[in-house]
Amino acid sequence: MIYLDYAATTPVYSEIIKNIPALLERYNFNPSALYSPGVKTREALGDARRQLAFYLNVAPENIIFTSSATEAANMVFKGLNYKSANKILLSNLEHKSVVESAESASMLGAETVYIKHHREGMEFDDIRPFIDENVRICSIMLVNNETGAVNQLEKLTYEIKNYSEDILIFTDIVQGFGKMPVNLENVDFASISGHKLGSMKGVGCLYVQKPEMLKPLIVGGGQEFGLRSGTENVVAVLTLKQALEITAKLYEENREHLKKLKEKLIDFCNKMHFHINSPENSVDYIVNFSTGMLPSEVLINHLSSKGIYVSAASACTKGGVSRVLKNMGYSDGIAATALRISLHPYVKQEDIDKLIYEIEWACENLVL
Amino acid sequence: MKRCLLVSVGELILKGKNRSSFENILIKKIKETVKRAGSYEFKRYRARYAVIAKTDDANFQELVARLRNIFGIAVIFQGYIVSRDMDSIKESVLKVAKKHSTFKIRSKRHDKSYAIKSFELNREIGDFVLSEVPGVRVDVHNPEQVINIEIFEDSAVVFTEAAKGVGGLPYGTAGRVVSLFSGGIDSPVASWMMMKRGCEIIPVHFHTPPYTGEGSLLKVKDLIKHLTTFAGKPIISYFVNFTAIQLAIKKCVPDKYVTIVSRRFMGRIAEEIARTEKAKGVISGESLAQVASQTLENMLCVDEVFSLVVLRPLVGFDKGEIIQKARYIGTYDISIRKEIDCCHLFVPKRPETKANIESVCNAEKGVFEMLGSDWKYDYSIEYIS
Repeated sequence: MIYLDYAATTPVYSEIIKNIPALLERYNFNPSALYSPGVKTREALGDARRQLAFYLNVAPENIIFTSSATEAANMVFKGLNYKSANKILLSNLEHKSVVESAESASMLGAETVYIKHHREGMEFDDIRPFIDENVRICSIMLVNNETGAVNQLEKLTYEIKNYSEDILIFTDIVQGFGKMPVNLENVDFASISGHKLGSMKGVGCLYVQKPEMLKPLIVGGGQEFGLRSGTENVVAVLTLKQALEITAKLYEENREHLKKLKEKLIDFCNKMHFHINSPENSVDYIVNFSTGMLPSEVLINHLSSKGIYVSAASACTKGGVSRVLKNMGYSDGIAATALRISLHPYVKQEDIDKLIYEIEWACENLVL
Repeated sequence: MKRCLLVSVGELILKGKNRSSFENILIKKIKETVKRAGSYEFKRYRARYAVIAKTDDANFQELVARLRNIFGIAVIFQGYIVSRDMDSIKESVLKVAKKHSTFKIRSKRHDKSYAIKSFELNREIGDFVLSEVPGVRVDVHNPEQVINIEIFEDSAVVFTEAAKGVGGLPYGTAGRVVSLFSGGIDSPVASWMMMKRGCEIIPVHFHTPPYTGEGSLLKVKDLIKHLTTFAGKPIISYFVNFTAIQLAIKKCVPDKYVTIVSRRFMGRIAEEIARTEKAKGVISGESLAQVASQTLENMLCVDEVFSLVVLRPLVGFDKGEIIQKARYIGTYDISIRKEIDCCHLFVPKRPETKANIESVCNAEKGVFEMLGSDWKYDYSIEYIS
């Protein structure tokens, strides 16, 4: 099996899988309980929170564990008060979890305003024309999940806050967390997903600078500082902590390796005259290109039959194509034949060779 | 007093000398279903079959849900088997009578020696219900509830309707047929309708990897799995890899004939599978003029490759009716599930609507030349349960 869809999910690391039975046995108690095993479970949860906070250089009290990054985004956009200002500024290339939760805030009186910008990412000049006293929050994703384009988060957030301190900033750091440095100094909210790092599915977290700004979506026992009630999934959180440790180390040690893999893919795309959809500044572990001749699904199915697993963000039926690529200004033909290869330090040069061989074969034999 | 369900057969009653063979299959099916659901005993009451609970905690709701999917059952009643004295009958009537509704008592003496005549029983029990059950009213023409009382030699049975069955004839009693099974809305409905007429189906699905993906296959399997709840047994299914043939057709045949020629090749393969499986017919989900390829002329061209009987149970239905049926059967939500595939790449832009056999035969000559006279296809067989 050659897995090249790490942006969709990173399979749980084997060392984590091995550790899960022991974690389940040791932390099989309610972390709110007063007796010893409960307290030990609470302690483990606190350690995980502190470690995540340390990595992000924030306070542990600002880390709220959730079921996913989608939940974290929903907590923000549906938990804010829009009485004094009701505009939500966001890029039209944001992940669906952000777009949909921002859109659903319309029932609270919010209004979404989409910012168009060039393919390399957002600039403050793209945002500035939309800023007025009605802007409540601005969303800036760190790494685009389809193209790997990187926004200059630190620079942008500084510029926005410098212009108006009243504007809150949300950032989806799912595709960058653990894999590149993230500075949350001027960020009010950030969403994180565990399974993208190789933890169990069903765990994520929200960084929130001022928890009192949010009205909780889920109420009950008051867990997670009252922002997210429900007994905590401690074992899943511990796998997130471990996945972060593994990811940070692997990506740090393999920057050159990932760069070479990307270069190999880009060279191949150029040789085949494929259209490269990932901008120059994209991360090394996401490469998006369009063959221009084979519908994405045909290529994905063919590669799947050869044990190579990749994805595309497009749906070729009924004319459905990647929203992100369309919003980037690409044609239906580009969007409907796109392929996203997402890499990991475990991917070998030979894996890319096999991928290249099969794509070449498909382009020669499967084009109708 | 014993709780029971009574199963009433539908048109089996109309059968003549071979009724018992149909009945035996149905009884076997009911017994198998009952056995899976829990601890029950089985007894025949004239034209009805009683399923009697052996324990107090019997889950009749689940049993009704299972029985109502068996072809051949018209109505399922629930009630009590009691001794023939009036007190016992009244006690059970109170258990089945619905509050705040209109009702009617329908009594029948299978044992004519029973002292109270049917009309007297109707009157006495009717008066009793009126006095004991709040908010009820008699309506002999269109009652919300009919309370049936039947007197047998050794007991009385008091029952009311619990659910309508699907009707039809017991599965498998009409022989075997292959079904051209696409995974859309129509073919599962067509299959179900022939299952209802007693046919045992053998779905044949054509897929064209990599132009279709594994998700589409999963959808087809889920649809067949749903139909097994009506079959009451695993359904043997064929999955034919049609890619090589489809590509040859795409290459050799004028665009407007691609659909007809594809269907003719699918027909030939289905016919071969039918012979292997000793099936006597082929089910197609076509509805006349639903799409450009489903005209009388085109159907005639496709039928030319079959020597078996072609069954088109949906031919006179419009799309709305088929959707309504699919919802009733429970296949609609599976059929509309979005599974990404690219088989639209093989759909002609302007399909021929009035093809004639001669020109279609001419058009497919090139395909035979390309595939060779001993053309073959890959397939897999699965027992879906």
